[in-house]
Amino acid sequence: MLMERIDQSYLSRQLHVVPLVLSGLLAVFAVLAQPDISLLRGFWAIQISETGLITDPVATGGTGAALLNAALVLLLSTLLIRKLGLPFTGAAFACLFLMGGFAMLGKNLINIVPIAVGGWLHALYRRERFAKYVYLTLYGTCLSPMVSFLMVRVRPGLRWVAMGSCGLIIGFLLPAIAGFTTRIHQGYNLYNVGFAAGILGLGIASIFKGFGVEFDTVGSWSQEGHGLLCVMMALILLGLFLAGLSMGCRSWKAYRHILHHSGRAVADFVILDGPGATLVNMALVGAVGLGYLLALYPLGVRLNGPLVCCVFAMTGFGAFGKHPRNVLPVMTGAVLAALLMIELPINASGVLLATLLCTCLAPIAGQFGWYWGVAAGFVHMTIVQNTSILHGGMNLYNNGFAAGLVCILLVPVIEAVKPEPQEE
Amino acid sequence: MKKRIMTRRRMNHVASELSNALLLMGGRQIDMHLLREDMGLRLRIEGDFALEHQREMEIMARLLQPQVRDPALVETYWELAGGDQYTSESELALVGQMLDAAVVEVSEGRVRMDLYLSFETKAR
Repeated sequence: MLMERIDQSYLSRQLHVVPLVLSGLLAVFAVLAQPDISLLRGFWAIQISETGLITDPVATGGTGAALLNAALVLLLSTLLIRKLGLPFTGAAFACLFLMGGFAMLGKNLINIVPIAVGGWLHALYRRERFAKYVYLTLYGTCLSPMVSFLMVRVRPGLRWVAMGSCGLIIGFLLPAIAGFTTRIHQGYNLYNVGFAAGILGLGIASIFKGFGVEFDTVGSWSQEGHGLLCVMMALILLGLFLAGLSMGCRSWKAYRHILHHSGRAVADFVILDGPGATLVNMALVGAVGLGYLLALYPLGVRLNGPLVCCVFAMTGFGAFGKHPRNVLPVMTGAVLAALLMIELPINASGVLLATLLCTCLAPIAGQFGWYWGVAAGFVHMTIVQNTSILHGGMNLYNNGFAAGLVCILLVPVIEAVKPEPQEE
Repeated sequence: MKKRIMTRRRMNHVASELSNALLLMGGRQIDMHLLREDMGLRLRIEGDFALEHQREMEIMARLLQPQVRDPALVETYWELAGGDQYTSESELALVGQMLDAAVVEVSEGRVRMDLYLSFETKAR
């Protein structure tokens, strides 16, 4: 299962099919959910509505419209990566699944465009190929709620200028900030751009606040479409699993090597272990998230846009650092915090998101041991409840922001008390 | 000029990561030669390692000579290479991604590397 089995043509010809098929599947389920004109009306409503934490596009436009939005965002992102000639590595999978997933929690075709153009301008300014910055640019669209906010709140004559400029500034600045924040958390936070975007969002929100503009989001949380979304997610995960089997991961021996990685960035499983084991791992990590949510069904938890987003995020990073062995301790810590603290009901929307997305700290469990993973999940759950207010709920990767802070708090402490690696 | 500085910084990270890896694998004498060529920097490393790490060294050789290089991945994460006292397959894979060309020969208890980083980022 090692590198020699992978070649460029294999990666570019075979693996790009996965996000394309996924995009098609989302579109099919979109039509199944809303097989009438309300699909397009709902889709348009999602494009022109305010987003942010936590707004559910399923509540805005319907289940079908939200899925159509996700399908198109994913499709365009995939085509962009293909057009730029990048191989479909684990990093690409993580990025694409995050794009598709977060289109179920705030990204849409209109609000991501100015940020993407800003990223392109950054590359132009640096006289580099845009391909080098495309992941950072796509991740950077996590601040797209700011674009939507200005589109909706600014008076008609100025709104396109305001939203365009804001998006361009975000897209232009974020690659530089993200490069810096990587050094701060040393790869223990898989949602690095979330950390960078939280800091940039804090800066922008503070400036706006100085001018008397408050970012305040109107939250929404749908309970519709649970059955359909369950079937869809089960099909996606099963499809990934079967694709992994067909690409050669047919035994425990072929898979188990992935479980020995700490998951710390850069743990690109496509490069390290091959596409077969990676796809199986993606399915398993996604199944952990989906299984957790379904286990909470008796407590009233139903799949909706934001929760599907979380499962997508977990699944995507199953190609880039997460595996069942390193995500479970972190999730356990988060659940423990929710059970012990009365302010954090386990079925509350923010708590559910944090329990699934705190898995961006999985490398801490992988590198230092499960007990530190539990501690990281616990601390994350408490910190993340207080970070959204800093950027006005405009950073969709708020858990990545909080995880960066957890790393600053925890990693130096762990390294101080843990013995250094043995030298021969 | 800025691109040359960036290449130098990247080569420093590569050298740091690899020297750390070789020391962790029991290396006692590691020779590193850094050459500035017209179009880039070349690092030649020759050293020994403990025999029980033969398999790890062979994996490292594969990771340093990947068939697929993802420039977007490198741009996002290159600063993580050589950043601390840990060396794992993922960090060595990152070093492999950062390089423009690499030839690594592993024999019993010895390794020889010829690693190249270009000043210009070419389409890969």
